Amino acid sequence: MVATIVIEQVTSAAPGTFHTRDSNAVADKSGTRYMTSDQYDSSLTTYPIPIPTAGNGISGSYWVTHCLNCTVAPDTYIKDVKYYQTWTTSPNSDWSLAGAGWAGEGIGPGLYIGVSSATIADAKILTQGFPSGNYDLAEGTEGVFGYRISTATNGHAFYLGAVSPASGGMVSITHFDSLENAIMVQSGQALGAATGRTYCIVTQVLVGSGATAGNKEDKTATWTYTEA
Amino acid sequence: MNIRPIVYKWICYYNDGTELHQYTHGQPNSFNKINQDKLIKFVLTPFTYEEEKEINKDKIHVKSVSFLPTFTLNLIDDRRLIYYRQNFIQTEEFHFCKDCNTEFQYNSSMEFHSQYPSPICPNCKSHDYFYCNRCDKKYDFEQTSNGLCPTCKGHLQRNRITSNRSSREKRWIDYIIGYQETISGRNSKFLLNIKETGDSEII
Repeated sequence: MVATIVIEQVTSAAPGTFHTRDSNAVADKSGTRYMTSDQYDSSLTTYPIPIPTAGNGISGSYWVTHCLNCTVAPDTYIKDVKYYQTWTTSPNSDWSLAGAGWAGEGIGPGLYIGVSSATIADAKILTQGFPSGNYDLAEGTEGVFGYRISTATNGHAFYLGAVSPASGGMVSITHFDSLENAIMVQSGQALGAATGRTYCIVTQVLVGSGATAGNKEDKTATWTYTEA
Repeated sequence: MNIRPIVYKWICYYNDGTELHQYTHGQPNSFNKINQDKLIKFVLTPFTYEEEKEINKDKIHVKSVSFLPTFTLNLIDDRRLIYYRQNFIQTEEFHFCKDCNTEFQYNSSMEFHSQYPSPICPNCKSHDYFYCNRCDKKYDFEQTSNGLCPTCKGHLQRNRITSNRSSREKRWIDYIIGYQETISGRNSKFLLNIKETGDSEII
């Protein structure tokens, strides 16, 4: 039959709790809010990301894990799972995450995604996601900051050894802004005629000093896959 | 709804006069069942109303949209069939104005009102405000006294008119049909992207 696919957000300690994001207009079951806590309820206004004072580096959300779950199998296969986001300019500009980061960190404010390839070109054709079995709990100090995906000691276990172009395991989501430029979450056959989960992605917001406070504008994220 | 019903089915025509349909008596046939060696014609065509009823016994899988055009691909010489469905699941966020019951998307071209981040409804210009039950007055954040009523110093209630945010999913499917063939030792592809509306473009 035609595959039934839902988007899931994963929280809690490994192996993780998978929350279906399928209820339109029900805030605690849809969308994603980047917070400084491991939460899935996007209606929460607690745990905002503090704006660091000048000279105190970059603050960041806890990283957020998403995947697709196939609950009714396709007739033949699910292949080439991809993901992209649509921005007017960039997260840094659209959300006024602003300001330069701390030069020593080698990375600026923005919205980042975990990658395992060395170039952006490769990230669009080779698998960048990770199996749901490699899910890694997002941690940090609640209400203050989340550990970076790429932090050597506390980062995401799957991406620590990655050879990423800019920042060791994470790059700006702005590289992946359309179907043609989508990040390849899982290349080739993800599922045969069977149910199961695709590979996961992990994303995170980094905020610099000089960012503006408040709710940020609504954005659109798109998953795409081929089916037969 | 976690499924996007398909609006096109495939039919394979073989060189021995036989056919393979995507659905036989309401049951699907895997794409892997197609015998490419015998395949001479591949057709994408909309479901009939009777087929829709037969297939959708337990759940909605297909939808009959009878006015959609039919697409026929003749596989001459050594052309090899390419067919798949490109599925999209898009999560889109929006705000809802409780005053005029209108939804809108907040973007950088819109205004925020006062220091308290509440988008202004593009339809009726409403926004969140603070309300003093004791004085029966409305205030913007700057007018309050550290969040208290500037008149009676009592606690204020924030009435959320436009700041509540929700998400919804949009799903759609593109049908990709085409072939690949070897020309002068090089593999070349021809692909046609067919929308759910029947519109098509070469990609």
